Amino acid sequence: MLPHPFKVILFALSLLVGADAKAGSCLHIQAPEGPYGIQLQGSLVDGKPYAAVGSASIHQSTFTLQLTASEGGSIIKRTILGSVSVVDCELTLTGSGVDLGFMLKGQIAERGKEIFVTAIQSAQPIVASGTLRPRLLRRCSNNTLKGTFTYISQGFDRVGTGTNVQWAPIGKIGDEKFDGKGCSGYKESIKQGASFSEAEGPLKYRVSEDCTFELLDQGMPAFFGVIVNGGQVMPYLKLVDGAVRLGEYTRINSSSTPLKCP
Amino acid sequence: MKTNTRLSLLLMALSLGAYNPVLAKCSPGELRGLFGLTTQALGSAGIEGTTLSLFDFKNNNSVEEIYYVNTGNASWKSTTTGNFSVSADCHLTLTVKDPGGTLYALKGRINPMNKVVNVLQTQPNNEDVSLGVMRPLGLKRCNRNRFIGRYGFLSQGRVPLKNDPLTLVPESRLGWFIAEDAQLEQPIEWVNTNGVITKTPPTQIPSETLDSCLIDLGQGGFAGVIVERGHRALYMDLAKGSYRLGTMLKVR
Repeated sequence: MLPHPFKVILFALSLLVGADAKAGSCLHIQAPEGPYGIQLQGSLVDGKPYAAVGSASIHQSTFTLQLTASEGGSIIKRTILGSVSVVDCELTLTGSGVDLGFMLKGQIAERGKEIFVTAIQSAQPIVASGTLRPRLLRRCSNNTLKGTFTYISQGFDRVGTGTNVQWAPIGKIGDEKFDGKGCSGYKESIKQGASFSEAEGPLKYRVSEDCTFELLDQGMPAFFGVIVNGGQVMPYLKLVDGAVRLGEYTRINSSSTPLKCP
Repeated sequence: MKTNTRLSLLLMALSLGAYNPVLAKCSPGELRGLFGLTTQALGSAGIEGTTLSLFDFKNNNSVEEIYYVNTGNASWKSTTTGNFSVSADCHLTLTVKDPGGTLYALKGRINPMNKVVNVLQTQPNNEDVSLGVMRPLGLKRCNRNRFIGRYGFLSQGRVPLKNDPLTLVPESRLGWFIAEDAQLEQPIEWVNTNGVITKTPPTQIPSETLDSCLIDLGQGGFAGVIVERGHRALYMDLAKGSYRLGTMLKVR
């Protein structure tokens, strides 16, 4: 009896995929190009925690990386320029000029939708890694965030001063609704040291055309984030001095909810 | 008859609404089957423990867990059972008792779109802050063909400096490998130990995919769990003194 034609096609495809997997080929995966969002978390070599969020623009062989980082609780913004190379799914961003000594090593996965990265810098050595993901949107506005997201965040808050500084761990999970007009409402569970609590409240937000955004608490920027994967995911950083906290929103839906702004 | 028709239409509309992703709400049966999770316990000194779990959520709201723990001084594998509930607003509450009788509890938020669950350990008498992202396996069991092909990987944590478990330094590792029948062919790995970068030579790592979808790497060196139908795998370092978690993700 002849095999079913569909089975023949499937068998042929499995042979092709199998052969490709065996060779470990990186063929047909496009080199990174265009706007990306990045998140990094780790520590400085002196043990202080480190976290960063930002956007990267990759055009052919050059890149511009705009990073907002909390280095041991101090918020630092920097722009890094340099060159790009891609060899067999391995991405290298090398800083040039004043940024010499900065390097971002990357490993392309998920057909280029997710790039694992680790940061290297000689001026202030760090061990920090995370992901680089394509923005997949030309531009953004407050309406881009319309909908409900879940989020998870973890990190440390600086406690004490001088030689008595300690790092208190904190973790949160929660939901946040965005109305598409600049108002949001969150509800979260918090674990901070031995204590567990629940909290909820409203915030304001503003999204820039470059798809970065800020959440405002009493008019002041409290969180900075970047929209990636076409608005499905948003890594973010707490902007308050003394905090080193990285989080990530993941979209649940795009439905509109009327909210009262604070 | 007319009333019955209207009622049927209303019930149909309600049932459609319950499965409409835009209006997605959760039912008690939202979590069924196998899920993988890694967590890191954060203390004031940084990472103070790591875990890797395979949860099996049953129909009767009981849960079975196979888990690995690395506390630095020791690492071990164990099993436990517990109970869980899912609320209509997609919140998970899970409690289990380990063989020593210690209770631990997790609170979670289910994303009904992809069944991914953000979880936070909640018992108030524990100083550590443990959390992670639980991912569905999408499989009932595995064989070696579920973990095959080219993967990129990234791991990070704290490891002993020069095998001294009293001196821990931060470390990240980045690279790729090809998973074959019983080993990983790893041509390259970039290692950042305390800010110093090295590139390791090509290596082969023994690998065994268990029927349960757990993976043994390096003959007890690492434990892993296949999630997302083999597209992704989560893993942890089992070496004494190491607190390091990682993710492997298919290149295509």
